[in-house]
Amino acid sequence: MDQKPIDLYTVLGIDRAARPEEIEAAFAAWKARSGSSGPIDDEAWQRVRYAYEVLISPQRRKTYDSLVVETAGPALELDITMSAESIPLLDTPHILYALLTLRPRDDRPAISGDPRPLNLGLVIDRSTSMRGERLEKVTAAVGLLLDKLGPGDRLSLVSFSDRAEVVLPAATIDTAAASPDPETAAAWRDPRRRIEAIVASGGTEIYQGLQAGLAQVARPAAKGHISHLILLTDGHTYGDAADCLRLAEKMATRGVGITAFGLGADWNDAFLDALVASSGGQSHYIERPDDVLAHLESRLQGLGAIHARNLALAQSWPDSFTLRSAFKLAPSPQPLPSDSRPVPMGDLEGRSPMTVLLEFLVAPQSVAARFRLPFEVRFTAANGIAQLAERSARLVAGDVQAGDGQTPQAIIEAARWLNLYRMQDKAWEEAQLGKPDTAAARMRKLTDRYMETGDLRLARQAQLEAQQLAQQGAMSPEGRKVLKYGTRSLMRSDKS
Amino acid sequence: MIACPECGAQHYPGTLFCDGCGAAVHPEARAYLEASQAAAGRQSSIRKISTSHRESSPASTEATGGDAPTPPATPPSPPTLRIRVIQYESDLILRGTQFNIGRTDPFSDFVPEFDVTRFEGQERGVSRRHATIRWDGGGFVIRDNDSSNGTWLNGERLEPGREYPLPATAGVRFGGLLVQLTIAD
Repeated sequence: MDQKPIDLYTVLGIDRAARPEEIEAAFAAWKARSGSSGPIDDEAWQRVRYAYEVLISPQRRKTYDSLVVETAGPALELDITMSAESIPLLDTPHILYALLTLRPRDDRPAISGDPRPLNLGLVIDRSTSMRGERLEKVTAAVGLLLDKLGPGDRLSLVSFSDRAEVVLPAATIDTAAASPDPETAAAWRDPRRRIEAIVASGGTEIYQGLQAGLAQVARPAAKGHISHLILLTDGHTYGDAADCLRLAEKMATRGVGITAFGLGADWNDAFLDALVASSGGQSHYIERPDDVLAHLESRLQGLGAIHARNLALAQSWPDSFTLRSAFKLAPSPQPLPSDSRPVPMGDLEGRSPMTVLLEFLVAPQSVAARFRLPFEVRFTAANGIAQLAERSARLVAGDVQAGDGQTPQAIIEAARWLNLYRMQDKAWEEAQLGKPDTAAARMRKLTDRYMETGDLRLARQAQLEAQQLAQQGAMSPEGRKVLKYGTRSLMRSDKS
Repeated sequence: MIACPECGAQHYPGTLFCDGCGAAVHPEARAYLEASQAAAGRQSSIRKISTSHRESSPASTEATGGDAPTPPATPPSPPTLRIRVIQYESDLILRGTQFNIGRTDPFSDFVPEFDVTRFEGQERGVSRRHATIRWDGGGFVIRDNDSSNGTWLNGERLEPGREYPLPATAGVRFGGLLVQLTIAD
């Protein structure tokens, strides 16, 4: 007997993502072939027939898929690189870094053909400050986006100031104009006109927009879709930041991801970072209105190629390990909430790996010992099944000779970027706390560090900010964004 | 604990880079930086350009002048005033002896020190020359300049034209814009 389980997809010679028609076609081809080539090999025939029967039934196929996943292992592979394999016996705590790499397994077919359809909610700021070029570019970009979505994708558009307005109710693009709901049908008859009719006026209350956006995205018709909300704002929200964060958490539990775009210089980056953190989403800085389209397009591309969803790192290590910081370096750099259990890491888009740098504070080790440091990442695979990728690092606590233990280059490199990022963050914090001199001194150091990386634009900006801090006691909001998001993209360019 | 070789900040052993000054703390991190600088040798022309650019500007001479002692920056005058615009979670620092609060008036070239235009001051009913905060030698005082929608200090409406002493922390409302003022030192 053959011990190896036979893959039913291989038997029929079809792709894992094959549609029912393709299964029918493959089966029909088999029948035709076996009929014309003499006597049928009975065993082979039975196998093909069985494969067909299982895969053509949606219910049985789903069960089969889930079982196969279990025997074949999870869809993602987790690799761990530690900064050291041993921890010295000291009476002080010790820093240890771990670099996590998650990549789709090579032996898995790429999710080709039919990815799950998107259920996208756009939430667009139309406060007074958006008036003019900003709103023009945004509405033009949204209009172009309509053509980029697939026929099975759902879209909704909400605009907000201190009130929210549903510009386009959630509907499947190709059938929206024929919707039985008269309001939806009317809105979608000429969606571009509706989009162009958005007028900027009023304050910025992001909560209003998010709530209306969520109401559209969370409609039951969107089951089986990848639900995602894209917020675009250019201002500070009006006293409802805490409500927004609570709503974002609620969205995360419902599997709705968030991307937040800040346009121009006058928005609260810390707030947008916090807003996307609970779903492991992304926040981006759009420097000029002209860049809106490119940003939206690249986001759409990512969402259209999701390989695994809702990755979450369990804090499964021993008590003597405290996670001090977690930072996603690639594909899209983003700080992760290290105090969250588990740590949400977002989705894995496309086939490029996700890398995350963790920094641990290890309590003093007093006895020599060997132990395991377990890493567990839970996620939802493309077929909707919950999976776990795990791996342990082996560590030794004991006396280590000096110079022992080569720190991997990848860790040093990652720590270097993270450190630059932290420095600019700290300088900003100090400026906020009314310590412009300390902030200016740090900014001057940072100027040198950016020079070392060869990034002149960031170096120049840091220098300008140091000057500004010394003379006026504050950083410019533009400078803050240029440095913060510029440092993030340094990490990305380094990876490519 | 180990000390940063450049700035002396204390770090836990195992730390790779100093988050105070960005220097490599760990010997292997230092080796990495040196190697990457050497590898970037062919880019040295670029670096040179940047260096000269830097030296041409006054602030960077300060930045690179390693032997210059840190300036003993003790401002002789009033403490700084921190303004937190609550509705925007925005913090600003003002230094000086007198600040106008209001909106920029393009017709008369009036630019207040604390310009609330970007906080949608007009929509919130802040006048162009709404109020003034002044250092009177011993403390800050605040005055409403007969604004259309008034100024409130900790919930009390100010009588226009009169100066009120500003406590160390105060909630102040200019028309419909709420800010928190803190005197920092």
